[in-house]
Amino acid sequence: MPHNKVVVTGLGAISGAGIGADALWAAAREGQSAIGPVEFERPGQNTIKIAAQIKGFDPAKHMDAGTISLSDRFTQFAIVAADEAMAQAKLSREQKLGERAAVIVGTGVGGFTSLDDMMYIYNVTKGRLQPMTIPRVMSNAAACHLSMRYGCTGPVFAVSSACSSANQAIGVGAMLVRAGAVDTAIVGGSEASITASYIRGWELLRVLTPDYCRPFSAKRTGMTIGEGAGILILENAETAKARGAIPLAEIAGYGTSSDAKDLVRPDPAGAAAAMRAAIESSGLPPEEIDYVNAHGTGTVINDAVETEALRTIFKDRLGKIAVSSTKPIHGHAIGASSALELIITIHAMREGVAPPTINWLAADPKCDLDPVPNKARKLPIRAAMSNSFAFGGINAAIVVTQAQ
Amino acid sequence: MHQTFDSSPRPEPREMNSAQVTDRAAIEQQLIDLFVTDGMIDRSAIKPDATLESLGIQSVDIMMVLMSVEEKFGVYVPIDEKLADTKNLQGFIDHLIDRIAQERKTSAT
Repeated sequence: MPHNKVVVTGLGAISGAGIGADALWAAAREGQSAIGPVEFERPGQNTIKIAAQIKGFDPAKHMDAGTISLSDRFTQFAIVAADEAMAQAKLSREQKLGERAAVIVGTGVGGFTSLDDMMYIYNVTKGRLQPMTIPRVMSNAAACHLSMRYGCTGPVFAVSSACSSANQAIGVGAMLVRAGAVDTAIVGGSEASITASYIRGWELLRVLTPDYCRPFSAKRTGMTIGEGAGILILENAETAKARGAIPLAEIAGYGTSSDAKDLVRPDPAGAAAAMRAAIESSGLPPEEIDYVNAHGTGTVINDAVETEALRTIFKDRLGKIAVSSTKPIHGHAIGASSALELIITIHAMREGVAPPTINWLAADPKCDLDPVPNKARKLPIRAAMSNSFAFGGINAAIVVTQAQ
Repeated sequence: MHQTFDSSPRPEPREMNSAQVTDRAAIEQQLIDLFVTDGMIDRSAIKPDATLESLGIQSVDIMMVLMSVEEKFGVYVPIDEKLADTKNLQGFIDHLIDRIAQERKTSAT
């Protein structure tokens, strides 16, 4: 089997920090949180009043009326992020990408806003349903809209693995390029599920903080939900070079694993297995990893378990590696989260700056790592890893290196 | 966009006067009732030093109890370090009472 080098030639994002990968990176680097009071279209009995929400989003600025009528908010986010990534990669919609191109987009719950609307109209108001509800709701809608938009006739599918969705989508896309099955893969994740009912569902799990998300910190009380999309253009380094595309980074390794233990309780062995597999697949010694963008949700258990898993991988060197969580910036955007975080990781590596873990108060002995507390730090980064661990026990990690 | 609320950690509950102590005992009784009804724990097995494990209380039972606490007392209790580290029933109940007392104080001011 061939072993092609996989490069990233385009990045695009929309998040609570605004539209654009640059806006996301600037917020992460400056420690500017996008978390604030949440607004629901139909308010409910919610105790949690905050989220990293995208406010004032107007799809008409980004796509035609036909596309809007056929798409849920999560698909619209994916389109905005993908258009940005395609533009950076200097790929045009006019030139169809064809059968050598894949589209793989992760999502936790797909078109949840449209589903929530349908349930409300059908069960409560007894009104007229939107006729295209089903094609809007389906989890593969974002991937399919992108395939039509850019003429990708190769492998197209959704990955739905809760919080690990995007890392798995990116990883599988990278493996397809590496194996020579395709030359281009449009990959990432999208999530738009901030409805009162969805937030209420998370409240019942008691993992949402009523005030501040402070990963790896003492006195942490949980996570905050976010939304958005992150899309990356992956290409075979040779075909990218041949068309004069500029590589931004290399996807060097990908690893995924399953705890096969508990639906909600994370397992350090499973988390470590994904990281080990990602590092092995990169062929790099673990000593070359200088920065880790952690899953770092800010829940008591995730951060302690992730620290334990990182310790088994990096051993005594753990304290010398910058490990930060940017979730207090963009929120936990579930199926989009690891795409947003990989985009931040690539910016961090290119700029030589480790973004901070904000809201950090004091060390927790169970999280004995260097979380880059509260302030960004200059740091030459040779290689970096981005982690994601999902409900269901699915873990996925990606290793990126500087583009040669 | 910035968060607009106070970031300082919430203060620890202070010592209570006698009226508050009675209040505390009443809340404790209500919480024990919740463990019996929602946690499905045999009332005779409830002893202060009983561990959650010995009572067969699992994470899903804790979530049911925390939901009832929210419904009954209007207090959202996230899983924080103290709750996660609590091993016995009394510790768990004490933590809930502290949170309820804290919340009542906050909403009173």
